[in-house]
Amino acid sequence: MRASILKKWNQYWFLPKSAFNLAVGRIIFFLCILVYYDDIYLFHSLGAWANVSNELWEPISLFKYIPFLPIQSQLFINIISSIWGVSVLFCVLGLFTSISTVICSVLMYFVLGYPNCFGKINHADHPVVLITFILAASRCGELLSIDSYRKKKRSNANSISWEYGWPIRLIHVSLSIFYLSSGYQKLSTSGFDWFTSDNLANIVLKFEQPFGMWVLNHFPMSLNFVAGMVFFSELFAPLSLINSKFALIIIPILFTFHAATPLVLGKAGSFYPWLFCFLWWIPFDRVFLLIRRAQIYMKHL
Amino acid sequence: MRFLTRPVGVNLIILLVISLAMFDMLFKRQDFPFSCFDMFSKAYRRSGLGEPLSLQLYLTFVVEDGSEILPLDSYIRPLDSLRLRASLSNSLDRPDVLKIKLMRLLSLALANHEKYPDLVPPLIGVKLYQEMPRVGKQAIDKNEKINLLISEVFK
Repeated sequence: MRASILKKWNQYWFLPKSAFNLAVGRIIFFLCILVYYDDIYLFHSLGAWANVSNELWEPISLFKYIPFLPIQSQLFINIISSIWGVSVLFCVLGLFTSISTVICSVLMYFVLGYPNCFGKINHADHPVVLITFILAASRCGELLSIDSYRKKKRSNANSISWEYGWPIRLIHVSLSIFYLSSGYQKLSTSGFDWFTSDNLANIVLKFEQPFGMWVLNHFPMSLNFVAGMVFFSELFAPLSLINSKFALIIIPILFTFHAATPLVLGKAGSFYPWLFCFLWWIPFDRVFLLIRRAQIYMKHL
Repeated sequence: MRFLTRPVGVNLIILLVISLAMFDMLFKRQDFPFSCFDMFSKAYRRSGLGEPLSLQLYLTFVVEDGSEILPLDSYIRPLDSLRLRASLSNSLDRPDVLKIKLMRLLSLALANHEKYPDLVPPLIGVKLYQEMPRVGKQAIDKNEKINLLISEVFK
């Protein structure tokens, strides 16, 4: 019994996999971070928090235990932001990846978590920070990186290992729990009222976004349908972990939901960083294989 | 520490991440970067129950001629209206703290005025209101909003 559970556990997490998906995921993921958060390291937007008074400082989580906070020096915050920006670039390039991902994750915790210590926690950045920590613990820099190029000169690196599958699995599991959590809160707080009542219509009215108002005026019942889709796809998100057919249904729904929320909620619904977390569901090896086959096919035509 | 090989370490990381995510979900906690993600989980109802739709806080800044204007996010940068509202809500039961927060907020807006005079007008004060229910027992008319002055601070 115990051996069987252990076997299943190992099969789920540690089947030997190619490093390709992890490497491509690393490059695109950190590239998205580099582009999306450019205001932090290029324009030092975080530095402005040094001007905000201590009275508004309400530290969360680990920030409660960091003694020198809140930081009053704009220069110090700007230096941290710049180092973080460089570390993200190193992660994209795969330069000193094992060190740069650790530095990047620790600084990212600070850089993206710091504004949350002024009254409100913005839930947009949570998965990005967690995924960076997971990548820091992984060997994501062993392919398609400057590190691997330098290493290959010394030895023949094996690009199939149990090390390359678990980080992507853990990202899937974490995000599924995040969605389950969101669905569970809706169920436990409001029950089925969340999607059967006029809840979403009231939310649309509250934020008064043009598209949301148009839908409310022309297709009011569709809001209940959309709310139901969100409610159940969040609750059943963990099913995507055990069956790829479920994943093919649930993951696109969740992606569309995130892409569409700004249309209904405006600025309050801009969870854009969640969107680039979905890239971890793309099987890049299969996509590249398809592209290559298509190229060969086109040549033969 | 001999037992802490790479596979054991990876298993511990997996267990730690799953446990923390589940813990925050079940106990409705917010431990960045984990969370219970309870935003928008409460259903907003207004189907004639007499329940308040919302008890929103809102701010106005007082300009030099004494008139009140609704602030844009640029006035209070790097704060934003969502964060500010949450921060002020946390101190509603402590008027002294609320007053200090409003004073600091005015200072921030004045500093922003000095930096960006085109974006932020010269301000002399800040007032915090609570918008009472649009539909509810206390409302005189269904469409009327009742605005209660909670606190105010002047230069």
